[in-house]
Amino acid sequence: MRGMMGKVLIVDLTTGTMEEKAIPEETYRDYLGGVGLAVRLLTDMIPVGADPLGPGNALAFMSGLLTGSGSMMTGRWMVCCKSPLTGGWGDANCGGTFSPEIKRCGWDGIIFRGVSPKPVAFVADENGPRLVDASAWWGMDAIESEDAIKASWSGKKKPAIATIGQAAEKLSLISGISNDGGRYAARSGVGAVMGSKRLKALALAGSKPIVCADPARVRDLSKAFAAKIGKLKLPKVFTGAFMPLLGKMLGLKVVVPVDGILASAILKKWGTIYNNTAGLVNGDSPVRNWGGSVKDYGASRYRSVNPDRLRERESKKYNCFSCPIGCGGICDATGTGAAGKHMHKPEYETCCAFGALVLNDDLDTIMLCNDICNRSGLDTISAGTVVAFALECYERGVITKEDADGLELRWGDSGAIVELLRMMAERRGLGDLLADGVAIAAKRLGKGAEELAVHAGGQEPGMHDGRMDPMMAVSFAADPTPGRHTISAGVYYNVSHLWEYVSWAPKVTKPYPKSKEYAASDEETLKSVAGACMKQLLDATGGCLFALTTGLQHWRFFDWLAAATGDARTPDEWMEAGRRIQTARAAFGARERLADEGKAWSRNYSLANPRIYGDPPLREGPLAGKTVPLAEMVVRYRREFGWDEDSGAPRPETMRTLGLSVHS
Amino acid sequence: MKVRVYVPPFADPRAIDDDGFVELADGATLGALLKRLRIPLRPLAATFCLVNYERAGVGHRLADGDTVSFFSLLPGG
Repeated sequence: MRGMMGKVLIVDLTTGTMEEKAIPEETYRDYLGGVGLAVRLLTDMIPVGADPLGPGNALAFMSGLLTGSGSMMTGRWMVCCKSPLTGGWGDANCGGTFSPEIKRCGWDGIIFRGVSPKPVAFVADENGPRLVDASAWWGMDAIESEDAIKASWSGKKKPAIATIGQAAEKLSLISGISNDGGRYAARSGVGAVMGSKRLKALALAGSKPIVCADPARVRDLSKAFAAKIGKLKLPKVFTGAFMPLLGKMLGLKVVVPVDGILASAILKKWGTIYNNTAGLVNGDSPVRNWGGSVKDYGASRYRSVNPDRLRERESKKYNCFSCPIGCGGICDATGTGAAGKHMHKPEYETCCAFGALVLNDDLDTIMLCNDICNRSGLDTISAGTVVAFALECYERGVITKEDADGLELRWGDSGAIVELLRMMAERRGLGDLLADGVAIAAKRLGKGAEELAVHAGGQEPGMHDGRMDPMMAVSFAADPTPGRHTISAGVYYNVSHLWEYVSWAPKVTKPYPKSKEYAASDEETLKSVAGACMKQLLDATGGCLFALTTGLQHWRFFDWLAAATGDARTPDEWMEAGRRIQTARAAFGARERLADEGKAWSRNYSLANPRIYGDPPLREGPLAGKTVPLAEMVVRYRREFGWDEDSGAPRPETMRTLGLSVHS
Repeated sequence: MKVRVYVPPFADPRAIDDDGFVELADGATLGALLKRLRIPLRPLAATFCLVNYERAGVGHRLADGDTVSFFSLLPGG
């Protein structure tokens, strides 16, 4: 397929050997690239029932179909494997500069199998691919090791580097993989898989051209999009102090269609932290381990996370590859206690996970937690959720001061929060018990701790409340990578304009009552399914979710696909590929969970902690009284996909229809 | 003429058709549209919206097919 490199590199870390594998055209046609290509290849490569931290698991670093084609906001890289956290399909993705470099090295993906006898790094440059001894870098944090690799680099071109920190080396199941000095593919426990393989880093500096079918058309589309983004300017009244009012307005009983490209002006100014205070007043942000509300973290406290306060610390903007928005930033870390002078600006997820979720209102502490996570490799969403869990366990006597090595784990206690996080990163004392996420920690603790462990299918959910956005709750529970906030949600769907392209996608063109979203209806189900299929297209092509949320009428994704590949299929047909990828991810998880029964690494979790869907509902705050009929919504979602309504395993007839192999 | 609108939650949605358009008399102004949508403080409200992604005042004459969008957050996500 045009736009792709035609092959992947498979590296056996046990033997140190490498082979290139050519990808048949029909595989590209059916699975595209990125997550799609990975699920097709890894379903065959990973032995059924393999230990996710053993040599049988494979770890794929994938670029996207559109990456490097000249299209905009399509530079994300995806990392895929069997998840040690959930037991099913695992993937995570990240922006930065790493993805195009995979293709410039000549491959659509680099897949690692086996376990190296000693720490190694994978290098590809003008001298070709090779493994180098990484013993000197093992034990360094992710940012330190990236700097050390850069310092030792003698190649002509600067490399793009992905690394892991100590938490991943110590196999924390909530660890991720860093690039560009602390931007993360954080979810699904992908860092632990990399650590288990003793693979410290990848350093890529390629020069191969990425050829697409109609570069002039791609360029024209890109110029038009960049021009639209470029001229957007927010009125001066849009200050951080204004965000709670705006957030409150959007928490009203009416949902209005939003012209997403105008919302991207807000992203341009602040990045995701625009939601720091708005999310609290409208109920989007979970508070106090999902058991509280803005009543527990009121204006006098949430003012500390006013996005302007972080923006004041931003010394420069940060754009991922091919992105004209630049929601990232580099912040001055002076006075926070961080290990370096600068850090990537904390995302909204991080601000919430180490802010309202743990009732901490000290911005320096949030920044320090960001730094600890970015260096050690802990996923900030999961790590903040674990801290919140531990605080509530302490409050209820499940964890004692003695268990916590003398720490008094009180809500909002900055010192205790930071120290507990360090203990997790280093797997020290109670931190060792907590370092694999709340689901495993709760099992280890017993004493009723499971009730306090907020996860979906074993993974801590993103910082967006399913009681506010029921589609988000469905996604948390029913996606093959549960707990992810980026898969499918009402808010993303409503700005996507997918219905203008996809014949079966329900139309959202005029205001409607919010109560409609709480009904398990055919329309809401179709929106969930369409959102999930679209997300798989994003992850197959390297597309950014924030590009989709500008609206497809602006971000001309399907036109770029046609121009880059020369493939004239319709949006409905592209969406069929998304449906195939989503079903293949589900099939992988179903196969593995069945095969893992009784094994030490078996994961068999309920759909979601009831707090996620409001059972019982909150008593106060903007989401008071809200309950999502999650079980019924999940049944409908699975039925629509053609999956078994109870287990979520794709039905044999669905597999056959989509051309997927049926596993016994 | 018809213009595509993306309105704030306090607007009166009754004027909006199923495709998200409002029908107006030819040559109607932005101010007239805001009035039709029962949006208060119209001169101020106009600073929160764009016509075809450009700033415009209440006196701006709209044309068939224009897009009038209010700045908004993504509520969540």
